[in-house]
Amino acid sequence: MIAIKIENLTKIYRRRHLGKLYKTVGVKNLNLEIQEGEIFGLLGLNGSGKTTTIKLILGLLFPTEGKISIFGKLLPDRIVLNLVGYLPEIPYFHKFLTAKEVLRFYCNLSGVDKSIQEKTIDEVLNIVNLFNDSNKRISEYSKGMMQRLAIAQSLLHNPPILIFDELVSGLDPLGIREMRNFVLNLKEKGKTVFFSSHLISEVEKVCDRVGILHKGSLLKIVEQKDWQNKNLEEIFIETINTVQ
Amino acid sequence: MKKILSIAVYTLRQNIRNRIYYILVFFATVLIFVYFLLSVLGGEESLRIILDFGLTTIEFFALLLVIFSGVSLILEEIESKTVYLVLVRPIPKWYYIIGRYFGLVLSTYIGMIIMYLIHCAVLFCKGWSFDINYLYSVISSFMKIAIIGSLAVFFSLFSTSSASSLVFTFFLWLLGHFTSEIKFLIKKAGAPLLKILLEIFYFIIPNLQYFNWRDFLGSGLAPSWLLIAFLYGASYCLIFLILSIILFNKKEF
Amino acid sequence: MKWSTYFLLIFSFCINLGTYLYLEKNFVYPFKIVDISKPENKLPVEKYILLDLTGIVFGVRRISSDIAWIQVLQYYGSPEDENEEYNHEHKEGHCHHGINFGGGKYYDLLKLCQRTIRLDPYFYYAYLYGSASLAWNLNRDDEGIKLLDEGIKNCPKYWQFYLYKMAIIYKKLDKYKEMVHLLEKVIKEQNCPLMVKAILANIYKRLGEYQKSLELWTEIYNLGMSEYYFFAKEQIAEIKNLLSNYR
Repeated sequence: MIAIKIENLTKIYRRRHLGKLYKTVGVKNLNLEIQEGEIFGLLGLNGSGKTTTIKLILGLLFPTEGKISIFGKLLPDRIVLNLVGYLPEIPYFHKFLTAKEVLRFYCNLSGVDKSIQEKTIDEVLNIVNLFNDSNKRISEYSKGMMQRLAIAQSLLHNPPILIFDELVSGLDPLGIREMRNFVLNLKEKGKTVFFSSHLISEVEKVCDRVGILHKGSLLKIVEQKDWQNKNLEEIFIETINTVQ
Repeated sequence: MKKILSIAVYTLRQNIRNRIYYILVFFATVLIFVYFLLSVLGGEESLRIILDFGLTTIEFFALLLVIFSGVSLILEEIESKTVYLVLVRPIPKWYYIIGRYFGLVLSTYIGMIIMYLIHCAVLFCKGWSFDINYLYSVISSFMKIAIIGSLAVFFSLFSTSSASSLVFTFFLWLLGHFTSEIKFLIKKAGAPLLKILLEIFYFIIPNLQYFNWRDFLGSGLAPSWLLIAFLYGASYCLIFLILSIILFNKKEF
Repeated sequence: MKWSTYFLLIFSFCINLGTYLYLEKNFVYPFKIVDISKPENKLPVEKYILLDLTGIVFGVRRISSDIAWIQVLQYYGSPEDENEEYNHEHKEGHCHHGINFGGGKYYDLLKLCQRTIRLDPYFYYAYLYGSASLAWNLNRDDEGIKLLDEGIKNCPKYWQFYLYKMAIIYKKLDKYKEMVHLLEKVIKEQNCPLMVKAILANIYKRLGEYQKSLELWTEIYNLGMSEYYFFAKEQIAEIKNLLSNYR
């Protein structure tokens, strides 16, 4: 089954300044299908449209043209977001709350049953190794701990699709390895993972398929077998250079 | 409803744990005790001094609380991107606005109730006996805060700048108390177009004089119209909350 | 936007309009709005005009009136000139203002009282205290009556204004018996300024009704600490002395 289907998706940012209209292309005519159970990486330089694509799927941005469906349901559909877990590039939480309070809050919003909430929260905290720090205020958390808390909140409602923006941004080498294992673990559980990154080395270690995005356009989709023969970095640079 | 309540409780926690909240409530409480000492300047009317100064101080501090929290309530979450993790949940966007608003108003009410209880304790020490007009003043102030809260939320989404939202909201607070004088000016206005414009302006600004019961304490005014005034206030809040929801729905993040 | 949102917006607007129209008809703003550009409506104390208007604009008339009242008491409670001896009859020694002298001139007392009651026309105590001070302490009966007339105009149902006015008129006409009779009625009211009791006690003493004067001073003394406490103690001792000499 197709987990996420993107058809002719275009997003043009319009900004008015001193009477003049400025247009910036976020994504242009994007067509993409992500299969259920696969790990799909969206690779691109800074400003290529990776975050824009993710925000369009999540409804944080409105498309100028095109359609997005999640498991066949056309967006915008607020209810279907229950099937998606999101990890932002830089997670932000309210500094005055504790980790448990934050997770309890997101459980309520995601409609997790009250009877299993505490159990679910403890489970996800154990998965991300934050159980012992769960009653500390977030203001006392390090960046790595915030990242782990962000992963925890994305798992609360056991979504079949997980969308991560800049998967390993700001993580140390140990953190990167933990993240990699975590993603592979998700695949074993049958989850669909869609993430964006500009770190080719990480992408090629976990993904089944990779899409190369450049200046808002999807240039190429590369399968795992392709970069086993040829280095993904070389494929990426070649693709970019061909366009330029 | 449960999800709106969840957002409201989250907002309440956030506000109550904010240092500014404690500072304002503490400062107002200290002022109430100061009035107790200064009331001797009022001679035999010392009780009146404590009553009036206390009611006005509590309302003023609540105004500061609601305006400063209200204008940054949603803006801050948008700027810090904390709002993303709420908006990617399966909830309608209006839940967020309503929940945040209720949390804001509730946290302000809690601060006000603490201050009113201390005020009453000080008044009882001075030999005051409970008067129903005090309750009317308290409830009227609550309504004022609810209206100003809805305006603060609206302006924060309309202008996208905390400073201008603050100014607009405070300005409407002032104009809201000036409505009787504006009505007088309408009568005095010569040109029919000016009269119509002033009438429209008079209708749009919230008439906070309906909720200024603390100023009418000695006037012997009968509260027969209070219930309708509350309906007016509630509908006013609802209009601005709906407009806020419309603005928020159009927002991209 | 969903149709339900439009519907709710229009519905709220209709409720708002309906309640607005009802309130326009039924809500009577308790304070009179006057055209302050006209000379007869000008606020009485020029230096406080800005402050007073600010109080009105901010919707804090009562508290502005309280501040104005504190200023009245501070004005009336302070010596006019610290080096000047008061030119009135009183015993040697300590001078307590506002009792049997209120000494000095205090030319601005009426204006300051008017300022207070124009900010809050329902500040009954200010009218009563102000008019009693003007009439009995400063012997400016007409100013006292002027203040009460304003009270009668603002609060025609507050009967005590008529009582005080009558008492001052009797004083003007030297009809002390009738004046005392009215003051006796006045002091029985809960909100009667303590000063009025002290005035009556003093009048009794002047008229030779020492027993009645003693009873009133004892009542004032028994109220506990007030601005008249120590003076009441002195008067009690003095009147007891007078009574024993008389016997």
